[in-house]
Amino acid sequence: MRDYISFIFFSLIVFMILSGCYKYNPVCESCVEYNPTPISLIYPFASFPAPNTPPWNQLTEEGVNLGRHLFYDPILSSDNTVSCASCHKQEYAFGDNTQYSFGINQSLGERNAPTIINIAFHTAFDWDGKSSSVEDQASRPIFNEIELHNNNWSEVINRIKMSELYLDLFCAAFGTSDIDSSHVLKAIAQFERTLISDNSKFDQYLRGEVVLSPEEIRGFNIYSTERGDCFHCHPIGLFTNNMFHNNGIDSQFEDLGRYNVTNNMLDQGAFKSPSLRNIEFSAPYMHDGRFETLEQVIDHYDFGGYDSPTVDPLMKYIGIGLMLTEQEKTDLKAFLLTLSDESFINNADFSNPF
Amino acid sequence: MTFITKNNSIRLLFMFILSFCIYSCDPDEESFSLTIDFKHLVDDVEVVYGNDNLIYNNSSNIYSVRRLLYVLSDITLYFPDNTFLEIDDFIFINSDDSATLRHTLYDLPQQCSGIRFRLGFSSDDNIDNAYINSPYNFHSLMLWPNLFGTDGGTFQGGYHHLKLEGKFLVNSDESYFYNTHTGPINGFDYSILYPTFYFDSTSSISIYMDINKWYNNPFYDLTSFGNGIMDNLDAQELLYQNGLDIFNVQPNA
Ligand code: HEC
Ligand code: HEC
Repeated sequence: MRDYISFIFFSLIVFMILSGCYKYNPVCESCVEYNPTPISLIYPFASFPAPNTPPWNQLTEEGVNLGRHLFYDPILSSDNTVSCASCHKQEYAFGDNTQYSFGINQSLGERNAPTIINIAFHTAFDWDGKSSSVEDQASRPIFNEIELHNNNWSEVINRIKMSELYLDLFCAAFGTSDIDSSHVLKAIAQFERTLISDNSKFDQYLRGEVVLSPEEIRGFNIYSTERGDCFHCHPIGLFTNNMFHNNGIDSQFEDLGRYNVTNNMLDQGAFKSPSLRNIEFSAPYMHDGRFETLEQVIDHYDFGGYDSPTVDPLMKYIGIGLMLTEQEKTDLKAFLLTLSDESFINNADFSNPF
Repeated sequence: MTFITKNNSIRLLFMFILSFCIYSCDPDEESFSLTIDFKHLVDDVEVVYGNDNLIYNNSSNIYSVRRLLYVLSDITLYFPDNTFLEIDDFIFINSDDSATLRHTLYDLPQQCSGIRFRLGFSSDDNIDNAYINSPYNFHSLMLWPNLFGTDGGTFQGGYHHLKLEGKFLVNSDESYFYNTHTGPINGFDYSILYPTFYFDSTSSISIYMDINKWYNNPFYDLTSFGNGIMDNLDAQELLYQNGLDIFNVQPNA
């Protein structure tokens, strides 16, 4: 019987050696000691739901580190010129400061680059929600002709495989240097999930650490009551309700938004409610970057918006307007500025590793 | 160490399958379920969501329904032998999300013959941020703001009971949105605990809401209450009165 057990044991070891990365790549000595350090997302006191991290892509220090490198590395673009961070810049809360952003060959995108903040807790991605997970989302720009414009995965993988740095990083993160597309997407997603902002002045106020000025308090009351009625679509916490609405910026639509995904007539002109966290840093605003300032955004809501068959009933002041006084507009803006989190846009862990 | 022989393991497998069968076929262990369909009617016709279907109420408002979201909590099921079972979870219904329009309760000891529920949450259960991980995006969709004492204490947080939204006509070419949102204000919780609805014991029922009743008895005039009523005590009080008879429960054929 003892023979039997040692036979199983022995064949298991042989199998592991044969199927392990050792077979593929002699550089990969670290894989033998593949031992990644699990990490969990920390956001004490913040009213966020449990993160949507799939069980098959739990965060590790090594995975996040790899993802951070990939996020900042133009190696992902077909001509080595553009990275995710070309359009998603930390100083603009991982959005961009131009209406549209340049991809490869100086080609211009068709929508404003959204911020990437607390997306571990979001449930749909892109302005129309066409991506249903962070992993899934990350592959879109890699092949989009305006963005990183690759034709297929093997192009991307071949470029990565030529880099000693990445062989080590992939080994450490996934225990293999036989890199495949799922590793790339998983690592980027891991990094993106760590982009948590929970230390704005408003968060500190909720934690009892600071007081808000009378102006900010008045703005908060406008925001959180039906006086201004911002909270139904941008609720306190994530400051997005993870839903799609037509907020009345047009009466006719060039971009049909959510309708492109659902084919539901009621979704024409509906877009994801963006998070208002760090809104100060992420101008211009809306899916097409039409508004340059927060004053313009507030004026839009104050005017009430344009009517159309799909405009959301929560835009209930259409045809009436909020009729905010100048003081109330200033107050509302003052509140929006309490959502700025300097420690997020300056967090060294989120910055360019190169 | 002769345990893992070929013979033995087959015998083990066999015993496992056998015991599994016995366990799952045991009539004493039989459990029942109750499937609930949520249906929303206007004068006996199922409502069509959008801005085109016009409805008339007793206050001569003409309105349409775009979406309807509500919570049922404190659910108690009754059985033919006069026993009952309290259900811990609440149910969230959202007309925009078809997955929420049917709900099944499992592991019941018998077929049900009655149900009792509350529209919204009682004050004890309506706690700020309490249901942050509830499915179907419940928290974000139903959150009732907490103004942390900055607004004279009107809003203490928690969740809406119900959100009914659409358009109403003021005259033939003028229409506005209404947001009939109910929830707790000024220390009143305004949730409605209904008397028990009884039916012939069954595993499948429908709970019908007659939407028009929200506005009919007593009259509730959309033109005067309009769009923002979350901190309007008069409106909440009227809606509470109207809400007392909006539900009807029938076993499914
Ligand atoms: C050329 C500019 C550009 C590049 C490069 C780019 N993005 Fe984007 N990103 C956008 C735009 C524009 C959108 C909105 C797309 C839409 O709505 O269809 C977007 C959307 C997103 C979103 C969704 C955010 C949300 O809240 O819904 C994420 C996440 C994201 N990008 C991550 C990435 C990653 C990861 C990369 C690199 C692999 C990348 N982006 C490369 C411009 C860019
Ligand atoms: C009906 C839901 C709804 C309501 C109510 C609402 N918003 Fe929005 N908001 C949206 C949607 C959807 C967008 C994105 C629209 C687009 O890009 O076409 C948006 C965009 C914004 C943006 C731009 C964000 C960005 O990153 O580009 C700001 C700022 C904003 N809203 C602030 C407010 C304020 C302040 C209020 C209250 C006065 C408010 N919103 C009320 C749904 C809403």
